Amino acid sequence: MNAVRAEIGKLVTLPSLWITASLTLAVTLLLRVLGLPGSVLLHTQAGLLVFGVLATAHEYQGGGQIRTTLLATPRRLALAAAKTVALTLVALPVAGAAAVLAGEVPATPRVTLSMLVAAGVGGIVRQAVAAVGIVLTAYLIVVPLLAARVPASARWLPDTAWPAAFVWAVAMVAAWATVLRHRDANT
Amino acid sequence: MSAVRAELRKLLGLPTAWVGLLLGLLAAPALVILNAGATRRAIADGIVSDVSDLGLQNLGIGVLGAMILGVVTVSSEYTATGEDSPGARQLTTTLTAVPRRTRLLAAKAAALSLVVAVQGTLTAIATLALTRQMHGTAVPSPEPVRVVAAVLYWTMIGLLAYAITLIARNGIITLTLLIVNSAVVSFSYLLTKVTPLAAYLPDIVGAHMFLRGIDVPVRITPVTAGVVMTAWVAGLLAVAGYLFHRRDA
Repeated sequence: MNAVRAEIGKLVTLPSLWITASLTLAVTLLLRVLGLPGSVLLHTQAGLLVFGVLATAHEYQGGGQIRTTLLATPRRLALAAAKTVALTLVALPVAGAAAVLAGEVPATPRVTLSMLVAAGVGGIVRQAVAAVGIVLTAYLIVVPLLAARVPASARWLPDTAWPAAFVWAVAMVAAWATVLRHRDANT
Repeated sequence: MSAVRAELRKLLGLPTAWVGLLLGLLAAPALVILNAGATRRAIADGIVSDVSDLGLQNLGIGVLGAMILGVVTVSSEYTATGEDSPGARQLTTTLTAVPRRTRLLAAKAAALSLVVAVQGTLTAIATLALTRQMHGTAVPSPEPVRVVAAVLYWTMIGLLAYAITLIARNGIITLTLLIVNSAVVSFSYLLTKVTPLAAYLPDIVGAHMFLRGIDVPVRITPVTAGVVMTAWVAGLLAVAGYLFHRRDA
Protein backbone atom coordinates (compact mmCIF):
# COMPACT_ATOMS: atom_id res chain seq x y z
CA MET A 1 0.00 0.00 0.00
CA ASN A 2 2.90 2.29 0.85
CA ALA A 3 4.45 1.60 -2.53
CA VAL A 4 1.22 2.57 -4.31
CA ARG A 5 1.02 5.78 -2.30
CA ALA A 6 4.64 6.58 -3.11
CA GLU A 7 4.10 5.98 -6.82
CA ILE A 8 0.98 8.17 -6.83
CA GLY A 9 2.98 10.85 -5.04
CA LYS A 10 5.65 10.71 -7.72
CA LEU A 11 3.15 10.84 -10.56
CA VAL A 12 1.13 13.77 -9.26
CA THR A 13 4.18 15.87 -8.42
CA LEU A 14 5.99 15.42 -11.72
CA PRO A 15 5.92 18.74 -13.64
CA SER A 16 6.17 17.07 -17.07
CA LEU A 17 2.97 15.10 -16.36
CA TRP A 18 1.12 18.22 -15.23
CA ILE A 19 2.23 20.03 -18.37
CA THR A 20 1.24 17.11 -20.61
CA ALA A 21 -2.16 16.73 -18.95
CA SER A 22 -3.03 20.42 -18.99
CA LEU A 23 -1.88 20.88 -22.60
CA THR A 24 -3.95 17.85 -23.64
CA LEU A 25 -7.07 19.15 -21.91
CA ALA A 26 -6.57 22.67 -23.26
CA VAL A 27 -6.14 21.45 -26.84
CA THR A 28 -9.16 19.15 -26.50
CA LEU A 29 -11.31 22.06 -25.39
CA LEU A 30 -9.94 24.30 -28.14
CA LEU A 31 -10.66 21.74 -30.88
CA ARG A 32 -14.16 21.17 -29.50
CA VAL A 33 -14.84 24.91 -29.58
CA LEU A 34 -13.43 25.17 -33.11
CA GLY A 35 -15.94 22.51 -34.14
CA LEU A 36 -13.48 20.18 -35.80
CA PRO A 37 -15.33 17.51 -37.80
CA GLY A 38 -15.03 13.97 -36.47
CA SER A 39 -13.72 12.71 -33.16
CA VAL A 40 -11.64 15.22 -31.19
CA LEU A 41 -10.28 12.50 -28.91
CA LEU A 42 -8.78 10.80 -31.97
CA HIS A 43 -6.21 13.61 -32.06
CA THR A 44 -5.82 14.57 -28.42
CA GLN A 45 -5.37 10.96 -27.40
CA ALA A 46 -1.77 11.63 -28.45
CA GLY A 47 -1.28 13.76 -25.34
CA LEU A 48 -2.66 11.00 -23.13
CA LEU A 49 -0.32 8.47 -24.73
CA VAL A 50 2.64 10.78 -24.05
CA PHE A 51 1.40 10.96 -20.45
CA GLY A 52 1.52 7.17 -20.23
CA VAL A 53 5.02 6.98 -21.72
CA LEU A 54 6.40 9.66 -19.38
CA ALA A 55 4.83 8.00 -16.35
CA THR A 56 7.27 5.08 -16.67
CA ALA A 57 10.12 6.51 -18.78
CA HIS A 58 10.75 9.46 -16.45
CA GLU A 59 12.47 7.15 -13.96
CA TYR A 60 15.23 6.60 -16.51
CA GLN A 61 15.84 10.24 -17.43
CA GLY A 62 18.79 12.22 -16.12
CA GLY A 63 19.36 11.50 -12.45
CA GLY A 64 18.43 7.84 -12.66
CA GLN A 65 15.54 7.98 -10.21
CA ILE A 66 14.89 4.29 -10.86
CA ARG A 67 17.86 3.38 -8.64
CA THR A 68 16.42 5.25 -5.67
CA THR A 69 13.04 3.68 -6.38
CA LEU A 70 14.52 0.19 -6.44
CA LEU A 71 16.48 0.87 -3.27
CA ALA A 72 13.21 1.70 -1.53
CA THR A 73 11.18 -1.06 -3.20
CA PRO A 74 13.61 -3.84 -4.12
CA ARG A 75 11.00 -6.41 -5.09
CA ARG A 76 10.55 -5.60 -8.72
CA LEU A 77 7.30 -7.37 -9.49
CA ALA A 78 5.71 -5.71 -6.47
CA LEU A 79 7.04 -2.39 -7.77
CA ALA A 80 5.57 -3.03 -11.22
CA ALA A 81 2.22 -3.87 -9.62
CA ALA A 82 2.30 -0.73 -7.47
CA LYS A 83 3.21 1.39 -10.48
CA THR A 84 0.38 -0.10 -12.53
CA VAL A 85 -2.20 0.51 -9.82
CA ALA A 86 -0.92 4.06 -9.25
CA LEU A 87 -0.91 4.90 -12.93
CA THR A 88 -4.42 3.51 -13.42
CA LEU A 89 -5.69 5.64 -10.52
CA VAL A 90 -3.99 8.76 -11.90
CA ALA A 91 -4.76 8.08 -15.57
CA LEU A 92 -8.48 7.47 -15.07
CA PRO A 93 -9.41 11.03 -14.05
CA VAL A 94 -7.13 12.54 -16.71
CA ALA A 95 -8.62 10.35 -19.45
CA GLY A 96 -12.08 11.00 -18.04
CA ALA A 97 -11.60 14.77 -18.11
CA ALA A 98 -10.34 14.62 -21.69
CA ALA A 99 -13.29 12.43 -22.70
CA VAL A 100 -15.78 14.80 -21.05
CA LEU A 101 -14.22 17.83 -22.77
CA ALA A 102 -14.30 15.99 -26.08
CA GLY A 103 -17.90 14.94 -25.49
CA GLU A 104 -17.01 11.25 -25.81
CA VAL A 105 -17.46 9.97 -22.26
CA PRO A 106 -17.91 6.27 -23.23
CA ALA A 107 -14.35 6.27 -24.60
CA THR A 108 -12.85 6.76 -21.11
CA PRO A 109 -11.99 3.10 -20.32
CA ARG A 110 -10.52 2.49 -23.77
CA VAL A 111 -8.33 5.60 -23.54
CA THR A 112 -7.22 4.71 -20.01
CA LEU A 113 -6.18 1.26 -21.24
CA SER A 114 -4.24 2.84 -24.11
CA MET A 115 -2.35 4.91 -21.52
CA LEU A 116 -1.34 1.69 -19.77
CA VAL A 117 -0.10 0.28 -23.08
CA ALA A 118 1.94 3.47 -23.58
CA ALA A 119 3.34 3.12 -20.05
CA GLY A 120 4.37 -0.46 -20.84
CA VAL A 121 6.22 0.63 -23.96
CA GLY A 122 7.85 3.53 -22.08
CA GLY A 123 9.03 1.13 -19.38
CA ILE A 124 10.47 -1.29 -21.92
CA VAL A 125 12.12 1.26 -24.23
CA ARG A 126 13.25 3.51 -21.31
CA GLN A 127 13.86 6.36 -23.77
CA ALA A 128 11.00 8.86 -23.78
CA VAL A 129 11.51 10.21 -27.32
CA ALA A 130 11.85 6.78 -28.91
CA ALA A 131 8.89 5.40 -26.94
CA VAL A 132 6.70 8.37 -27.90
CA GLY A 133 7.63 7.83 -31.55
CA ILE A 134 6.71 4.15 -31.39
CA VAL A 135 3.46 4.54 -29.44
CA LEU A 136 2.13 7.48 -31.46
CA THR A 137 2.98 5.85 -34.79
CA ALA A 138 1.23 2.69 -33.67
CA TYR A 139 -1.94 4.32 -32.32
CA LEU A 140 -2.38 7.22 -34.72
CA ILE A 141 -1.15 5.72 -37.97
CA VAL A 142 -0.78 1.94 -38.00
CA VAL A 143 -4.01 1.09 -36.12
CA PRO A 144 -6.37 3.34 -38.15
CA LEU A 145 -4.74 2.19 -41.40
CA LEU A 146 -5.04 -1.50 -40.57
CA ALA A 147 -8.61 -1.04 -39.35
CA ALA A 148 -9.54 0.69 -42.61
CA ARG A 149 -7.73 -1.63 -45.00
CA VAL A 150 -8.03 -5.02 -43.28
CA PRO A 151 -11.42 -4.84 -41.50
CA ALA A 152 -10.97 -8.37 -40.11
CA SER A 153 -8.08 -7.11 -37.98
CA ALA A 154 -10.25 -4.58 -36.14
CA ARG A 155 -11.16 -7.12 -33.46
CA TRP A 156 -7.52 -7.53 -32.51
CA LEU A 157 -6.32 -3.93 -32.56
CA PRO A 158 -5.67 -2.14 -29.25
CA ASP A 159 -7.78 0.88 -30.08
CA THR A 160 -10.84 -0.41 -31.87
CA ALA A 161 -12.42 -3.17 -29.82
CA TRP A 162 -13.07 -3.39 -26.09
CA PRO A 163 -11.70 -6.83 -25.16
CA ALA A 164 -8.66 -6.31 -27.40
CA ALA A 165 -7.84 -3.00 -25.70
CA PHE A 166 -7.88 -4.78 -22.35
CA VAL A 167 -5.76 -7.70 -23.60
CA TRP A 168 -3.20 -5.31 -25.12
CA ALA A 169 -2.92 -3.35 -21.88
CA VAL A 170 -2.47 -6.49 -19.78
CA ALA A 171 0.06 -7.92 -22.25
CA MET A 172 2.16 -4.73 -22.43
CA VAL A 173 2.16 -4.23 -18.67
CA ALA A 174 3.15 -7.90 -18.19
CA ALA A 175 5.95 -7.54 -20.76
CA TRP A 176 7.17 -4.41 -19.01
CA ALA A 177 7.08 -6.13 -15.58
CA THR A 178 9.10 -9.02 -17.03
CA VAL A 179 11.69 -6.62 -18.46
CA LEU A 180 11.86 -4.73 -15.16
CA ARG A 181 12.32 -8.01 -13.30
CA HIS A 182 15.12 -9.39 -15.47
CA ARG A 183 16.97 -6.46 -16.98
CA ASP A 184 19.65 -4.40 -15.29
CA ALA A 185 18.09 -1.11 -14.22
CA ASN A 186 21.12 0.84 -15.38
CA THR A 187 21.11 -0.12 -19.03
CA MET B 1 33.39 20.14 -44.17
CA SER B 2 34.81 18.35 -41.12
CA ALA B 3 31.87 19.64 -39.09
CA VAL B 4 29.42 18.12 -41.58
CA ARG B 5 31.30 14.82 -41.44
CA ALA B 6 31.22 14.85 -37.64
CA GLU B 7 27.48 15.60 -37.60
CA LEU B 8 26.86 12.79 -40.10
CA ARG B 9 28.67 10.30 -37.89
CA LYS B 10 26.84 11.49 -34.79
CA LEU B 11 23.46 11.24 -36.51
CA LEU B 12 24.09 7.78 -37.92
CA GLY B 13 25.38 6.60 -34.55
CA LEU B 14 22.03 7.19 -32.83
CA PRO B 15 19.77 4.15 -32.33
CA THR B 16 16.64 6.30 -32.61
CA ALA B 17 17.92 7.71 -35.92
CA TRP B 18 17.96 4.17 -37.26
CA VAL B 19 14.34 3.75 -36.16
CA GLY B 20 13.60 6.83 -38.29
CA LEU B 21 15.70 5.60 -41.21
CA LEU B 22 14.09 2.16 -41.33
CA LEU B 23 10.58 3.45 -40.65
CA GLY B 24 10.95 5.97 -43.48
CA LEU B 25 12.30 3.38 -45.89
CA LEU B 26 9.77 0.64 -45.15
CA ALA B 27 6.51 2.45 -44.32
CA ALA B 28 5.69 3.69 -47.83
CA PRO B 29 6.31 0.39 -49.68
CA ALA B 30 4.35 -1.42 -46.95
CA LEU B 31 1.48 1.00 -47.46
CA VAL B 32 1.49 0.28 -51.21
CA ILE B 33 0.91 -3.40 -50.45
CA LEU B 34 -1.70 -2.65 -47.77
CA ASN B 35 -3.53 -0.23 -50.06
CA ALA B 36 -3.37 -2.40 -53.17
CA GLY B 37 -6.93 -3.72 -52.97
CA ALA B 38 -8.49 -0.35 -52.18
CA THR B 39 -6.47 1.30 -54.96
CA ARG B 40 -7.67 -1.24 -57.53
CA ARG B 41 -11.29 -0.71 -56.49
CA ALA B 42 -10.86 3.06 -56.58
CA ILE B 43 -9.44 2.96 -60.11
CA ALA B 44 -12.21 0.61 -61.25
CA ASP B 45 -14.90 2.85 -59.76
CA GLY B 46 -13.26 5.91 -61.30
CA ILE B 47 -13.36 7.92 -58.06
CA VAL B 48 -9.70 8.93 -58.25
CA SER B 49 -9.39 12.49 -59.51
CA ASP B 50 -5.84 12.03 -60.79
CA VAL B 51 -4.57 8.48 -61.34
CA SER B 52 -0.94 9.59 -61.61
CA ASP B 53 -1.15 10.66 -57.94
CA LEU B 54 -1.57 7.10 -56.73
CA GLY B 55 2.08 6.12 -56.92
CA LEU B 56 3.23 9.17 -54.99
CA GLN B 57 0.34 9.32 -52.54
CA ASN B 58 1.64 6.41 -50.48
CA LEU B 59 4.98 8.18 -50.11
CA GLY B 60 3.43 10.61 -47.65
CA ILE B 61 3.56 8.20 -44.73
CA GLY B 62 7.32 7.77 -45.07
CA VAL B 63 8.02 11.38 -44.10
CA LEU B 64 7.51 10.11 -40.55
CA GLY B 65 11.05 8.80 -40.88
CA ALA B 66 12.31 12.21 -42.00
CA MET B 67 10.54 13.82 -39.03
CA ILE B 68 12.12 11.44 -36.52
CA LEU B 69 15.55 12.11 -38.06
CA GLY B 70 15.01 15.87 -37.86
CA VAL B 71 13.92 15.63 -34.24
CA VAL B 72 16.74 13.38 -32.98
CA THR B 73 19.41 15.48 -34.71
CA VAL B 74 18.64 18.13 -32.10
CA SER B 75 17.05 16.28 -29.18
CA SER B 76 20.07 13.95 -28.84
CA GLU B 77 22.23 17.00 -28.07
CA TYR B 78 19.95 18.06 -25.22
CA THR B 79 19.52 14.62 -23.64
CA ALA B 80 21.52 13.99 -20.46
CA THR B 81 24.55 11.90 -21.34
CA GLY B 82 24.34 9.65 -18.32
CA GLU B 83 22.18 8.92 -15.31
CA ASP B 84 24.95 10.00 -12.98
CA SER B 85 25.41 13.36 -14.65
CA PRO B 86 21.98 14.80 -15.41
CA GLY B 87 23.47 18.22 -16.12
CA ALA B 88 25.95 17.00 -18.74
CA ARG B 89 24.71 17.11 -22.28
CA GLN B 90 26.39 16.36 -25.57
CA LEU B 91 25.72 19.91 -26.70
CA THR B 92 28.41 21.22 -24.36
CA THR B 93 31.02 19.05 -26.07
CA THR B 94 29.68 19.90 -29.51
CA LEU B 95 29.91 23.62 -28.84
CA THR B 96 33.42 23.25 -27.45
CA ALA B 97 34.45 21.60 -30.71
CA VAL B 98 32.47 23.94 -32.99
CA PRO B 99 32.02 27.21 -31.09
CA ARG B 100 30.51 29.19 -33.96
CA ARG B 101 26.86 28.43 -33.59
CA THR B 102 25.65 29.39 -37.03
CA ARG B 103 28.31 27.15 -38.54
CA LEU B 104 27.22 24.31 -36.28
CA LEU B 105 23.58 24.71 -37.26
CA ALA B 106 24.52 24.80 -40.94
CA ALA B 107 26.64 21.65 -40.58
CA LYS B 108 23.82 19.85 -38.77
CA ALA B 109 21.28 20.94 -41.38
CA ALA B 110 23.58 19.79 -44.19
CA ALA B 111 24.17 16.37 -42.61
CA LEU B 112 20.45 15.94 -41.93
CA SER B 113 19.43 17.03 -45.45
CA LEU B 114 21.90 14.60 -46.98
CA VAL B 115 20.63 11.63 -44.99
CA VAL B 116 16.98 12.53 -45.50
CA ALA B 117 17.39 13.22 -49.23
CA VAL B 118 19.08 9.86 -49.80
CA GLN B 119 16.35 8.18 -47.77
CA GLY B 120 13.65 10.02 -49.71
CA THR B 121 15.15 9.12 -53.08
CA LEU B 122 15.52 5.44 -52.22
CA THR B 123 11.97 5.29 -50.82
CA ALA B 124 10.50 7.09 -53.83
CA ILE B 125 12.20 4.68 -56.24
CA ALA B 126 11.18 1.62 -54.21
CA THR B 127 7.58 2.84 -53.82
CA LEU B 128 7.14 3.67 -57.50
CA ALA B 129 8.73 0.39 -58.61
CA LEU B 130 6.45 -1.55 -56.28
CA THR B 131 3.41 0.38 -57.51
CA ARG B 132 4.38 -0.46 -61.10
CA GLN B 133 4.79 -4.09 -60.09
CA MET B 134 1.36 -4.29 -58.45
CA HIS B 135 -0.78 -2.16 -60.74
CA GLY B 136 1.07 -2.27 -64.07
CA THR B 137 0.03 0.52 -66.40
CA ALA B 138 -3.21 1.26 -64.53
CA VAL B 139 -1.20 3.74 -62.49
CA PRO B 140 0.98 5.79 -64.86
CA SER B 141 4.44 6.66 -63.55
CA PRO B 142 4.60 10.35 -62.58
CA GLU B 143 6.97 12.65 -64.45
CA PRO B 144 10.50 12.75 -62.98
CA VAL B 145 9.96 16.40 -61.93
CA ARG B 146 7.21 15.32 -59.55
CA VAL B 147 9.41 12.64 -58.04
CA VAL B 148 12.12 15.25 -57.47
CA ALA B 149 9.50 17.52 -55.89
CA ALA B 150 8.44 14.68 -53.61
CA VAL B 151 12.03 14.14 -52.44
CA LEU B 152 12.35 17.90 -51.94
CA TYR B 153 9.18 17.87 -49.83
CA TRP B 154 10.61 14.98 -47.85
CA THR B 155 13.84 16.90 -47.16
CA MET B 156 11.99 20.07 -46.21
CA ILE B 157 9.83 18.19 -43.70
CA GLY B 158 13.03 16.88 -42.12
CA LEU B 159 14.37 20.44 -41.88
CA LEU B 160 11.03 21.64 -40.50
CA ALA B 161 11.20 19.05 -37.71
CA TYR B 162 14.81 20.12 -37.10
CA ALA B 163 13.85 23.80 -36.81
CA ILE B 164 10.85 23.17 -34.53
CA THR B 165 12.93 20.97 -32.21
CA LEU B 166 15.61 23.67 -32.04
CA ILE B 167 12.95 26.15 -30.96
CA ALA B 168 11.18 23.82 -28.52
CA ARG B 169 14.40 22.10 -27.32
CA ASN B 170 12.25 19.11 -26.56
CA GLY B 171 11.91 16.07 -28.78
CA ILE B 172 8.68 14.82 -27.25
CA ILE B 173 6.63 17.94 -27.96
CA THR B 174 7.83 18.20 -31.54
CA LEU B 175 7.40 14.52 -32.28
CA THR B 176 3.85 14.51 -30.84
CA LEU B 177 2.89 17.58 -32.86
CA LEU B 178 4.31 16.15 -36.09
CA ILE B 179 2.94 12.61 -35.73
CA VAL B 180 -0.55 13.83 -34.78
CA ASN B 181 -0.39 15.88 -37.94
CA SER B 182 0.60 13.00 -40.18
CA ALA B 183 -2.11 10.70 -38.85
CA VAL B 184 -4.49 9.18 -41.35
CA VAL B 185 -6.95 12.01 -40.88
CA SER B 186 -4.39 14.78 -40.66
CA PHE B 187 -5.10 17.55 -38.24
CA SER B 188 -4.16 20.34 -40.69
CA TYR B 189 -6.42 18.73 -43.27
CA LEU B 190 -9.35 18.90 -40.85
CA LEU B 191 -8.49 22.53 -40.15
CA THR B 192 -8.95 23.29 -43.86
CA LYS B 193 -12.62 22.41 -43.27
CA VAL B 194 -12.73 25.13 -40.61
CA THR B 195 -10.74 27.80 -42.44
CA PRO B 196 -9.42 27.73 -46.04
CA LEU B 197 -6.23 29.44 -44.82
CA ALA B 198 -5.17 26.15 -43.21
CA ALA B 199 -4.37 24.92 -46.73
CA TYR B 200 -1.23 27.02 -46.46
CA LEU B 201 0.07 25.11 -43.42
CA PRO B 202 3.41 23.54 -44.38
CA ASP B 203 2.39 19.89 -44.58
CA ILE B 204 -0.69 20.55 -46.74
CA VAL B 205 0.87 23.14 -48.99
CA GLY B 206 4.02 21.04 -49.41
CA ALA B 207 2.05 18.06 -50.66
CA HIS B 208 0.83 20.21 -53.56
CA MET B 209 4.37 20.18 -54.88
CA PHE B 210 3.95 16.62 -56.13
CA LEU B 211 0.26 15.66 -55.78
CA ARG B 212 -2.44 17.00 -58.08
CA GLY B 213 -5.77 15.86 -56.69
CA ILE B 214 -5.74 17.14 -53.09
CA ASP B 215 -9.16 18.08 -51.84
CA VAL B 216 -8.73 21.56 -50.37
CA PRO B 217 -10.84 24.70 -50.77
CA VAL B 218 -8.14 26.69 -52.61
CA ARG B 219 -6.18 25.93 -55.77
CA ILE B 220 -2.42 25.96 -55.27
CA THR B 221 0.01 25.40 -58.15
CA PRO B 222 3.12 23.27 -57.54
CA VAL B 223 5.42 26.29 -57.85
CA THR B 224 3.42 28.38 -55.37
CA ALA B 225 3.40 25.37 -53.09
CA GLY B 226 7.19 25.10 -53.33
CA VAL B 227 7.63 28.79 -52.59
CA VAL B 228 5.28 28.76 -49.58
CA MET B 229 6.87 25.59 -48.23
CA THR B 230 10.38 27.05 -48.62
CA ALA B 231 9.21 30.20 -46.87
CA TRP B 232 7.91 28.15 -43.92
CA VAL B 233 11.14 26.21 -43.61
CA ALA B 234 13.37 29.28 -44.09
CA GLY B 235 11.31 31.30 -41.60
CA LEU B 236 11.37 28.63 -38.91
CA LEU B 237 15.08 27.98 -39.50
CA ALA B 238 15.75 31.71 -39.14
CA VAL B 239 13.86 31.87 -35.83
CA ALA B 240 15.62 28.69 -34.65
CA GLY B 241 19.00 30.09 -35.69
CA TYR B 242 18.39 33.38 -33.92
CA LEU B 243 17.27 31.64 -30.71
CA PHE B 244 20.15 29.15 -30.82
CA HIS B 245 22.55 32.05 -31.24
CA ARG B 246 21.08 34.06 -28.37
CA ARG B 247 19.95 31.55 -25.76
CA ASP B 248 22.24 29.97 -23.24
CA ALA B 249 22.91 26.43 -24.42
